[in-house]
Amino acid sequence: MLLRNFDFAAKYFDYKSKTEFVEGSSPKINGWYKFIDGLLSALLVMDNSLYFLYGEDKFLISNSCEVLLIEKSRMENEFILFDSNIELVRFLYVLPDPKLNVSPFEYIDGDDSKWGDFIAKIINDKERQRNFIMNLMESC
Amino acid sequence: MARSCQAAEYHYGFQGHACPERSRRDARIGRFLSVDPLAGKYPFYSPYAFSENRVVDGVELEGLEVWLTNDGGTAYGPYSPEGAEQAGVEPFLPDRWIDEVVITEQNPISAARRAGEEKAISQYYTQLNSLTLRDYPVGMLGSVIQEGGDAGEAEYWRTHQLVAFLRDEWLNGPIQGRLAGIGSPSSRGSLMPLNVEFEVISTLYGGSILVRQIPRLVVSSAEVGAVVGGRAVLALREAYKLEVNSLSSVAFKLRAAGSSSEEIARTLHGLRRELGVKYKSLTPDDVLQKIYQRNLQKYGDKLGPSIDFLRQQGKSWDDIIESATRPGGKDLGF
Repeated sequence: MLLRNFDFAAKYFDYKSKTEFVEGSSPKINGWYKFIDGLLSALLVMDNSLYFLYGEDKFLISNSCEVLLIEKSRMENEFILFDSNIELVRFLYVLPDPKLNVSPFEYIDGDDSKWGDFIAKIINDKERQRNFIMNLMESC
Repeated sequence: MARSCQAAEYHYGFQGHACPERSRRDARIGRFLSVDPLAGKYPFYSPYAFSENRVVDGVELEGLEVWLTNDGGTAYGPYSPEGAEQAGVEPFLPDRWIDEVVITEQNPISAARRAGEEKAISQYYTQLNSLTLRDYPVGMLGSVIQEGGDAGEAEYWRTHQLVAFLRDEWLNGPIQGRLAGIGSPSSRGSLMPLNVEFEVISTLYGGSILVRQIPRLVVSSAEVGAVVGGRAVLALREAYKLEVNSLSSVAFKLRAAGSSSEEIARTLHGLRRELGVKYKSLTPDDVLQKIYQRNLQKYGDKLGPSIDFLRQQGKSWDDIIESATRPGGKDLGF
């Protein structure tokens, strides 16, 4: 079960051994991860289903799951995952500096650099969610 | 005259040529289907690129060379300030334009003679305005098709078509006064530099279009911070946006030709990355290296996310097509 780091393309995390390593090639992956204040957060496909991990908790993403993002400041957002309006997890994540090493000729989307936005897009947009699961299943 | 998107009809006409290399070039996307015979001479460019990727402001001569309309901001030809002087014509150069070219509607040498022939000029424009220029998206005007006539004559008429089109569109107001990548290298010297702003003006010789070349990034590294958000970058950004948006027409043509979503996505993704290279090359080197470093860290590729990376993030082929035709940058302060 291999996860790819959201911010560092060459970093991977082996979910079973709980070890992070650097890999120059592009192995097939099951999902993406990012450490938030030392805790693992990850979105991954397992047994044809989508899961969100936060610390030791693992949440199956059902059709009733939804993510709410709250802008706390220009540099920080709050991420809240609900299932049928029941809050499952909440955390703050730092936003990248939009002026940092960015040219006006970039081929990137808004959710490319924001972890919470990336997760929210996949959980809230059911079509994107299907594509995400399908693409990662194909690659594994 | 509407032009359909069938590939077969593009065997001739692209940039005015009767297309002798019709078997090698896919006119639907303006690229060679096999390796350019001059690839070794110009290794910087993709050997599959046509007209050095400048399908909009360059034209291949006999299918072998490209003659660009400008060279690093210097304009040449009888309509440039230098050329106007040679032709004995007073160039129109207002102070507020930093880098400009005056393009007269007529050849300066014959302009004076024609100036008094209003009726003939009227008929002339009626004829020009009936052409199919409106079918071409902004940013592709340089690929106006001129069929018939010898090469020199074709180039001459192409220039007049562009000028007439821009004048009328501007006066009618449906397009903004800024176009990217229009161009018409002409054996008679007409100039439409890459990345231009234009303004319709009146001169001694009737309606003309004042064209200002949008400057390349001519700032020092120390000034980059000040330039971001400044006029030079914004002008380039506008040109970039127009070129990116014009990729929609490539997608449309490929789809009409029966290409699959995956084929279209891969083609557009490649073209979009080439655009990024082209525009990033205008960025000061030290800043560019930082951008490349960041992209390498984030995407594992200095040019940004590969198509496999995008797929791993759950993008569908149609998502990739859509994002390739969108300039982006909304969240980046542009």
